[in-house]
This record gives sequence, structure tokens and C-alpha cells, in this order.
Amino acid sequence: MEKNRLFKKITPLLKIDSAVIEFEKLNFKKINVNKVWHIEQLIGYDAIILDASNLEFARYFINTIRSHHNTEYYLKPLFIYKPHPLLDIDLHNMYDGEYTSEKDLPEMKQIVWDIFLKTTEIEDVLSLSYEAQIIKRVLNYFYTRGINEIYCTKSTFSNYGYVYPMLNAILKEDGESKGLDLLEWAEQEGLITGKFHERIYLCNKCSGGFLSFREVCPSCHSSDSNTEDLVHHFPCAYIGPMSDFEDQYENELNCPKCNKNLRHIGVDYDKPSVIHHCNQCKADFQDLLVHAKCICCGVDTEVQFLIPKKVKKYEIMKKGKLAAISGILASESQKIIPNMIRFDTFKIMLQHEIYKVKYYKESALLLSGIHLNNLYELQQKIGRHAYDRLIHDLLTEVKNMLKSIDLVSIDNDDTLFITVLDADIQETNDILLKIKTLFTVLIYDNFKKFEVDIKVATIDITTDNNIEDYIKLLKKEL
Amino acid sequence: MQDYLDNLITYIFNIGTDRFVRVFWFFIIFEGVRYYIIDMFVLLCWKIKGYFQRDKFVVAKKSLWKEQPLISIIIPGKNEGEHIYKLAISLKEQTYQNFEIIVIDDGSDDLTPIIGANLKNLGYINMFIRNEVRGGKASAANLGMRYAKGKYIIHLDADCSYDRDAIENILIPFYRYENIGAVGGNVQVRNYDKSICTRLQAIEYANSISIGRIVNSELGILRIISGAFGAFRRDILDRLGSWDIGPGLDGDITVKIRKLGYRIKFAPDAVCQTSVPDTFTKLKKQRLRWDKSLIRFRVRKHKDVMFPNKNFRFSNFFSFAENITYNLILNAKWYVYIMDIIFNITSMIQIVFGLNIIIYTISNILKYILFSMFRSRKNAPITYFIPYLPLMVIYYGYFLRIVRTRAYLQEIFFRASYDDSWNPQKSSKYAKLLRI
Repeated sequence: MEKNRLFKKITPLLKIDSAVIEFEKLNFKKINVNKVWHIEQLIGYDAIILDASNLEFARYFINTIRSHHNTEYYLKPLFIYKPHPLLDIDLHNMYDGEYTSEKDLPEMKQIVWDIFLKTTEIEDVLSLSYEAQIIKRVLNYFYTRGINEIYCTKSTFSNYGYVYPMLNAILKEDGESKGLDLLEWAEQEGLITGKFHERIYLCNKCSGGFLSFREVCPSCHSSDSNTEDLVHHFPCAYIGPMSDFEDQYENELNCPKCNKNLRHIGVDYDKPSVIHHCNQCKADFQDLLVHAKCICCGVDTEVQFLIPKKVKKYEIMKKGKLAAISGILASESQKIIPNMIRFDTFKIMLQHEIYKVKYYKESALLLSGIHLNNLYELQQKIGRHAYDRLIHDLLTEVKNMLKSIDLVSIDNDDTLFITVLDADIQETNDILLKIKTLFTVLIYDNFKKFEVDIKVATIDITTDNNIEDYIKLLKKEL
Repeated sequence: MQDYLDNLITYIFNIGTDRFVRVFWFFIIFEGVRYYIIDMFVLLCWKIKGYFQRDKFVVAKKSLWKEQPLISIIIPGKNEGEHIYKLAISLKEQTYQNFEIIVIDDGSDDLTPIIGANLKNLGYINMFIRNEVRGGKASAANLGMRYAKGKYIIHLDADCSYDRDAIENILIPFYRYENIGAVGGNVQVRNYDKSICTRLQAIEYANSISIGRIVNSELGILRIISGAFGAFRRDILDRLGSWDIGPGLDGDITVKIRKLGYRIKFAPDAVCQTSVPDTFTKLKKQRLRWDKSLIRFRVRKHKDVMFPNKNFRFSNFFSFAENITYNLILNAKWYVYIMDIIFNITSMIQIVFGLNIIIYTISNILKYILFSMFRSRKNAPITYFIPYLPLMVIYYGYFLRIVRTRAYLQEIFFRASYDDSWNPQKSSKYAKLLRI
């Protein structure tokens, strides 16, 4: 934890020396820990060679570029030279090789070209849900590197003790605990398949995995307690803690009831049990509670309230590789929101409207889409449950603004689709503007002045294409 | 049969006083005087005294509520898990609530540890201590005592239940009388309607506990506080080192408290209900264990109270003398009486036996009805038990007497109580060795 904070403090002040190596039309930007540095300075270079002798800087630099939302940065080939011997194992998948001397450049050139070629295959699809956006970036990275497996490694730099390359970098310290849920989502979507690696327990407040397990007093929850054997003296039936029998002056055990000396365990006395004494509240008890204290947030909780999670090693499926290229499509399991028609029903109804237009020669239909681009950032802050409620509330407001015959639904990427029936482009745009304004104000007012980035698009529906093509087209517009 | 009845009636009308005394001397001299005349007299005195001193009772009750001392309720037992929940619930209903409940599991091999721990977590009991290895009831009670914080200690059996005001009523005597060391509760039979055996025991408990202990308490010779329900001053138990190895530890602790010079009182309004053995086989086993304690504790361990010494007290002497006389000596004397009848009145033996039953039955019915007036709390209407009173002659006069005789002989000649599986051998062998 401490190390992570340290990176944040040092970053704006770092000074680096930079130089450029040109090799067969490729520019390798050398990064040293000497100069003031901005990520924008990297644009235009084909690859980076990072001086990794400074462990903290190397970690910071790699995480910064890999967590960037722009493919120009997070997919950029990166090589290290002079790697620090303690460079974390969890960073190994985050760079593309080592540079030791100029003789490495031909091999590096090949790697860079391979990455370039694969990067050109990737479609930059914007209209995606929070989960899809994050996972797509991970898949993009692994696809361009030709890596099929997403391994986790143990790391003290992660809140929950494990690091998944790219994913933890993207989510950063505050959101990394959501990584396991995202991977689970991706597995459910069939993008990756997991193999059990470990079960971990996380803090129920901050999802931290650094927990101190302690036996505590059931009364005051203090861990300041002593444990003693209970001693039963057979002849007089006295029974009490060992300290009752201990003679302060002689190294003997004497019965406080009959004053006899205890001689032989099993013969004249035994120890039928143990007892704990709390030094804080003075309670005596036998059943200690086991509490877990979160090192990150300090919450002290009973172990049964911890959140169990499975840590898995993942393999990228064919669907995952396709997703890296063309984006993650809505899954088969439909998002169900009360009082809202399902997306597949929406498509059937829309198809029906298209037939009507064709058959009755009615005026063309309009299909509109609304996507809240940076809403995933809000989800990171407020959690999935609150996020779902927000979506539900927003959709309720949208329905109130439309006629009952208008079609409205949402797909799994949280893109809102609307078809306003019997309306021209002007009327539709007016409605969309109202919705956009409403969303902006509602979210701004209710979520600490969060400025949501809303994209709105409308397309004409002719009779030439099928419904899936229209949806794809609209998503591209968004 | 007709001839037998004719002869019996003829005998009754012609017997005369001299002959009646000659034939029924045992009943007239010993049992009639002690258990009918003296008991009735004492009960009347107790009732009258109670009426005139009722203000003192009110003051004592107020004192208790003013002070509201912390009470430690100790419940030792093995495999009592199923009873502890019901008991804890009944204790929650008590009028007096300033108590802590300490349950000691003496090496149970059933679900008691889980039940006890759950009850502790749910807040029904304050402390649950488990001994992995069984140590016997005395050690379990002593362990509870070790962690008790109350001013008074109440010892309960897990399979009993208690009237709502039982805890309050058992504490009042500590504030009503001077120098009280312990108070015994009134134990009644809960399962009286289960079998003939339990009905007879219900009648027996009503006589010997509900009434008998009022008399003994008033006479100052009460010598036992039932383990099922007894309250003790904590400082006295600390002085005594609490309970010694049983069986019979409840009688033993009472005698030890008496020997320190403290008085023992009976609280008839502090009612506890217990389940008694429902077959005569189980009853025989229980009574063999109980009756041996007369020899072990009264005759042997505490025989010093019968002889002059620095701790000699007449009340203790009479308490013991009465106990030994009526339970040991007269038990032996009864056999002399039987021999007397067999050998000296041989020709009339059947008639005498029949008359014996008639006399005892009539006296039992009279006694039961009269004494019931002194019992404020009854587990069933008086009429419920009257049909069973003729059987009490067989039950009390023969069955229990024979069981008692067997127990005495086993203890006198073989010290059999030390071999009783009720207590683990690891401690019984030391008790035997040390003669305690």
C-alpha cells in the first residue's frame, strides 16, 4: 500500500533524459529518470525503451501508459533496459522485451511490427458498457501481444494480494478490487475461461485482501487476552485456571481448595479444557471470536462477513479474441429492467415497424441511440448496485418523456435505443436533447457534480438492411 | 375373600386399645407421632407465625428489590443441551432479572457444546464453559462457581423449570432471617401424569419436600437443599471451597454450611418442577444412589456433629439424630416389627396386614388433605391423587424401604457409592481413599 502511494507522490516531479533510437524507420524513444515528463511526449514514437533501473519509476511509468484509455499509449510497444533486479514479476506481461544493446534492435523491430499489425485489426468501438470497456482494453492488449493466458501473480501492490496484468493497471488502486468481478463477467460472457487458482477473502468495506486475522474477546472484541489451561483436582473436585494453582514462591502447583500438591497429570489432576481471559474487559470465555482487521481501511469484522472470491487463471477464448478485434457484442442473457421491454423484444418490434413502413409505404423510421460514455467511472465510484438503480431511474424518466407507443430499450452495453414513432427528425432531436439535458442535470446534481459525457445519434431506417446492421451502425455513430 | 373380610371387620370391632397398640406399635410410636402429630403442630405454628410476621416478609422483599444483588445461576450438567434452551427461556421470564447464567458442560458427547455456544452467542446465557473431559457434577459446579460474580449463587438442574417468581422467592429468606447460609427451593413433580410411578413420586414429593421441608426448616433441622434448586451465599461457598465429590453432594454442602453455624431455610413459594423417573427400575437406581449418601455423609463423613467438640451445635445434632433415627434406625426397627408380627401374631398375620393397609391409607388420605391446605402451590388438584393414596402403603412402606435397606447395606459393607458411575472413577477413587 505504502509503495503505491509513493508512486503517486513522485510522479509529477520526475525528471528524465530522453533520446531517440532510429532503427529501420522505427523510432524508439528512450526514457530515463531525469527530466520532467508528460505522456503526450510519447506520441509519434513507435516504441519506448524504458530505463528500469529505478524500480519505483519503472513501475509508475509502465502502469501509467498501460492504464491510459487511448490505444495510442496503452498498446504502444515498450522495452526495458537496465531492469532493476527486483522489478516485480507482475509487470512482466506489461512490457515487450528487454533492450540490452543495439544488437537487440532487429528482434525488437519484429516485435513492434507484429504489434502494429495486430493493432490495426482492432476496431475502436466506443459504445460499450463499463465491464466491456475495461475487458476490451485488456483483451486488446493481450491480442496485440499474442498472449493467450491471463495469469495472476501474488503482489503486495494489489489491494487483494493478486495482480492481473493490464487489468490492475487500468483499474488503478481504488478500483482494482472490481477486477475479479470484471473477469467473472468476462467468463460469463464466454470471452475467457478460468481455472481455479486460489480462494481469497476480502474486506466487506474496501475489498482489501490484506487482513489481519485475530482471536478476539466476544464481549469487547479486544485481542488482548490470555489463555490458560483449566485444571481439575480430582480429590477435592476444585477446578480453575492454572494460575489458581501456581505457587508464586515455589515452583509447584498447589490446590487452592485443599492445599494439596498436584503431582501427576492424569492421576490426581487433569486439564479438561482451556479458558481465555480478556485483559481489557476482564471477561472470561472459551469461544474466541475470529475477527479480520483490514490493513487498508481498518475495519474490524467477523470472518463470516468477509467476501469470499475465487482467484483464477484465465485463458482467452476465441470469442475473446474476436471481441478484441470487433468489440464485445451484447450477450445472450438480456438485461432485464422492470417496466422496460427486453432488448430482443425491442428488436422484434422494431422489425415489425420496418415491415409496416415497407408494406404501407409510410415515412421512414428513425432509430436513436444514447450512450453515456464515462458512466463507468461513476460505476467505479458508486458500485454496481447503485449504478443499476441509477440506470433504472434514468430509464423511468425517459419513458415518462415518451409516448406509450414509442419503442425504448437498453442493451447489455447500457446503450439506450429509442424509436419515436410518427416523428420527424426535428421532433426526435428535440426529444433526445431533452433527455440529454435531463441526464446531465440529474447526474450532476445527484453524484457530486459528476459531468457525464453523453453521445447521441440518430439513423434513418430504410428497408435495405436487417435490424442487427442498423444497431451496429448506430453504435458506430455513437 | 368374603370370609377374609368378615374376619377383618370382626377383628377391627373387637381389637381393643391394648391389642391395637400391641399390633401397630410401630405406626403409633414412631411414624404417627413424628409424621402426623409433630408435622401438623409445626405447620399450624408456621402458618400462624407467618400471618403475624407477614410485615417482615414484605420488608424482606422490599430489601431484596432495593439492593437487587447480582445472582449467579450455575447449571452444571452432561448431555443437557436439549434442556438448556427451555431452561434459559424460563429464566428470561423471571420477575427477578439481575442474574448471570453460567452453563457448565461436563464433557457432553452429544450436541450440547453447539447448543450451549449458540445460546451464548444469542445472549440467552452469559457464560458457557465446556470441559472436554468429564469431571463429575461437583467439579462442574465448582467451575461455574469459579467464574461466578454474584453475591448469591443459585444451583439449578438443567432438566427443571421454574415458576416466574421462583428466583425472587428463593432470595427473600436471605433478607427475612438472620444468619442464613442457604435456601432450598420447593421441588415438585412435572411429569406426575406420566405413569403410576410418577404419580406416587408426586405424592411423595408433596409430603416429604413441600411439607416435610417446611417442618424441618421450622424445627431448624433442614439438612438438604436439592441440587435442582438451591440458593447459597457466595462468601460461604468460597469459604467451603464449594462442592465436594458426590453422589449426595447437595446434602453434603448443606451439612458443611450448617457446621459453619449458618441456618438453612426452605422457601415453599420458590417452586421448581422436575421430571422424575417414570419406571420403578429407574426409580430404584436413583434411590439407591440417593440413599447411600446417608451412610456416606451423615454416618461417616460428618459424624463429628454427633459428638461434643468445639463446633458442636444442638441444632446440627438434632438434625442428624432425627435423620439417622428415622431413616436408618427405624428402617432397621421396621424389620423387627415385621418379625414381631410374623412370629408373635402368626395366626392373624393376614388380618394385620390388611388392617395395616387400611390404617395407613386412611391416615395418608387425611394427612394429604390436611397438609394440602398448607401447600400454596400444587401441581394438580388434590382429588387427582387421592385414588392413588392406597398404593402409597406399598410404595413408601415396602418398595422404598427395601430399596433404602439395600442401599444402606451396600454402602455400609462395600462403600458402593464410590463405585457409582454417576461420578467418574478418577475422582471417586480419591474420595474413597480420603474417606470424603
